Amino acid sequence: MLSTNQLQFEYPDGKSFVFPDFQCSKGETLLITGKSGSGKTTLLHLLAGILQPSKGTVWIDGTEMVKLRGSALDRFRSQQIGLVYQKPHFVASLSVLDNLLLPTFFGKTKSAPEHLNALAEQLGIEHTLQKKPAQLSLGEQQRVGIARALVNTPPILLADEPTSALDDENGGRVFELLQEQALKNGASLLIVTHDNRLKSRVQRQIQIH
Amino acid sequence: MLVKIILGNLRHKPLHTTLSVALLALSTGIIALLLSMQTQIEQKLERDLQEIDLVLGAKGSPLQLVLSAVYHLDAPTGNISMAEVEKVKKHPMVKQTIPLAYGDSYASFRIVGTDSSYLHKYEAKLKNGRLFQDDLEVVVGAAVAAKTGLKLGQTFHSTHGEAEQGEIHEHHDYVVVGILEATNTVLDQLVLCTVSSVWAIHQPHDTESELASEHAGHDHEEHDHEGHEEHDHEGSQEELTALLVKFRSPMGIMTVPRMINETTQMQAAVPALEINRLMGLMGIGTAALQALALAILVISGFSVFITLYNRLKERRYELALLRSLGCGKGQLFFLLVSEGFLLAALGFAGGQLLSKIGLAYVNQASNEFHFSFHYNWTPSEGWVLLGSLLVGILAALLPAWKAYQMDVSAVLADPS
Repeated sequence: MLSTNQLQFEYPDGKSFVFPDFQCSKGETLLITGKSGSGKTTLLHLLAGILQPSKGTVWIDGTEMVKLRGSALDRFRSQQIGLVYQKPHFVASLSVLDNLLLPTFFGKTKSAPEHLNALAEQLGIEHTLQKKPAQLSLGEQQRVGIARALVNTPPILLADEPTSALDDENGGRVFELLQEQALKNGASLLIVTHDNRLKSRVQRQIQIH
Repeated sequence: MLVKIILGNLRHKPLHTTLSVALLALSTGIIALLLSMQTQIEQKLERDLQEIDLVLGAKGSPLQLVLSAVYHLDAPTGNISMAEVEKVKKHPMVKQTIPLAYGDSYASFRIVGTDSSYLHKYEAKLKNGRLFQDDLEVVVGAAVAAKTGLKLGQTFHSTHGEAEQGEIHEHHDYVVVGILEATNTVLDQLVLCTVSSVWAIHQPHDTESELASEHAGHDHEEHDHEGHEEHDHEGSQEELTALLVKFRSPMGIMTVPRMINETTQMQAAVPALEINRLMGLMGIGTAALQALALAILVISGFSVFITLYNRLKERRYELALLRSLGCGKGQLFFLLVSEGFLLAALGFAGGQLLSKIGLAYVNQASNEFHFSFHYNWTPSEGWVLLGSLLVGILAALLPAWKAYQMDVSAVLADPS
C-alpha cells in the first residue's frame, strides 16, 4: 500500500533527516516512534505530500508521490490520505458539518449523507453537526478531527501524535477509534508518536533517530 | 463551499468588516453623488442651450443674462427696446429670433411672454388644450401644472417679481388654455403667454381707457399677434427682456456680438462661452470635493487591507488546514482576493444607497431652482464601480500572496 525508498529531507537552515525504508500494507497499523526533534512530523508531512523530499520517493498504491505536483497532488492527498492532528484545527466560521464536508469539496468526491451520518454516529458526534467547532469540548473536537480524516474513506490514515496531549482514558479511546475505523475501511494506519503508552499496543514499530 | 468560507470569514470579525464597508461606502457614495450631479447639470445646461447662438439683453453681466434668458434661473439685467431689436432682426446673418418678455411670476414659476417659436424650439407638445392666442391666455409647463395643480380654464393672478410673495396684479386674470407635456427642458418650469400680455399687465391703470379706445378698431380674435406687434412698435415704449438669436452660419458669431456690444444699448452674450466658463468654475468646486472623497477611498483601501492582513495571521492554521485537505495554492489565493472583492462590492452598494439619499436631499433643498436630479445610473458611475472593485482587489493582493506562499508544513507542525 505505502512504501518509502531512500527518503531524505533537508531544511533551508541545514537540518537534514535520513529516513529508513519501510512499508505498510492494507489494514496494517504501523507505529513510527522517536524522540522529539527526530523528524517524525517531517516524515509524516513527506508521506502526506505536504513536503517534497530532497531525495528518495514515496509510493502510495502504485503512484509515485514525487511525480505529482500542484493541484494533482492536492487532490490525490485529499482522496487517498486522511490526516489526524494532535490538536485539531477547523475553519472557525463554518459549522461542524461543513467542516466535515471540506475534504469532499476539495477532493471532488461525492459524499453520501448516510455515510456521513453513520460516521458521525460511530464517533459519537452526531449531536454536534450544526454547532460551531469552538462550541465543542476538546474530546468532541478530536473526534470530529478523526471523522474528517475518514470522510473520503481514504486507504491511508496518518496520525500525528493523536494521543500525546490526552490522559490515559481519552488517549486509549482515541487509539481504539482509529484502529476500529482503519479496520472497518481496510485502511493502513500510521501513527507518529512519542507516547510510550501506545508502544505496548501496536506490534509493528519503526524507530527514527 | 468557497462562498461559505468567504462569507463566514467576513462575518467572523463583524466590526472590522463593517468599518471597511462603511469607509468604502462613504467614499464611493460621495464620488458617485458628485459625478452624477455634475453629469446631470452639464447635460441639462447643454440641452437648454441648443441652437441658441446669441442672447440679447440689457447691458450688465453676460453670465447673468444667459442664466436669466436661457435657463430662467436668474433675474434679468434690464430691458431692451423694440426699436433696437427690430434692427437686429433685419440683420442678414440672423436666421431666427425668439422674443422674451418677463417680470412676473405665479407661485414662484416665471411668466414669460413669447411666441410659438419658443415652443417649437424645444419641441413642446400639448397635453391638453391649445396654444395661447389672445392676451392673458397662458400655456403652462408640465412641472408648473404638477406643482400648482392648475387646470384648463382655471384663472389666476400673477405676482410681480420672482418671489412667492409680492405685489399681486389683481386687475388682470390669466386663464389657462393649454398644458404641455414634459419636455425635460426649461419650458417645464414656465408659464407662457403672448408678449403683449406682459405689456398689458404693466400698463399703468389709469390709461386703461386709452388702451381700450386704441384697440377699439381691432377684433382681437382674428389677429395674428405677430402682425399686431409689428405695426404697433415703431415709436412705442414697449420693451423686451431678452431676445434669443440663431444665425444662418457660424460667421454670425464672429461679427454680430461685437457690433451689438459696441454700437447699441444692448449687450450680446454667447451662451456657449458663458456656460463653459460657469462649468469651469463649478468644476473647481467639485474637484476639491472629489479629491477629498478619493482620500477617503484610499483610507478605506487601507482598512480593507488591514482587516484582511490581520485575519491572515489569525487564520493561518485554518488556511494550512485547507491546503492539507486539498485546497490548491491558486484556490487559496482566489479565496482571499474574493474577500477583498466582496468587501468592495458591498461598499459600493452602500455608496450607491448613500448617493441616492444625497440626491434626494439635494432635490429637496434646491426646490427654488426647480431642477430635480434623477436617480438613474450615469455612465461615469461605472468608473466608480470599477475603481472600488480595484481598491478591494489591490488591498487583498498582499494577504493573498502571503497565503499563496505559506509553508504549510511549518504551520501545521507548529504546536501552539
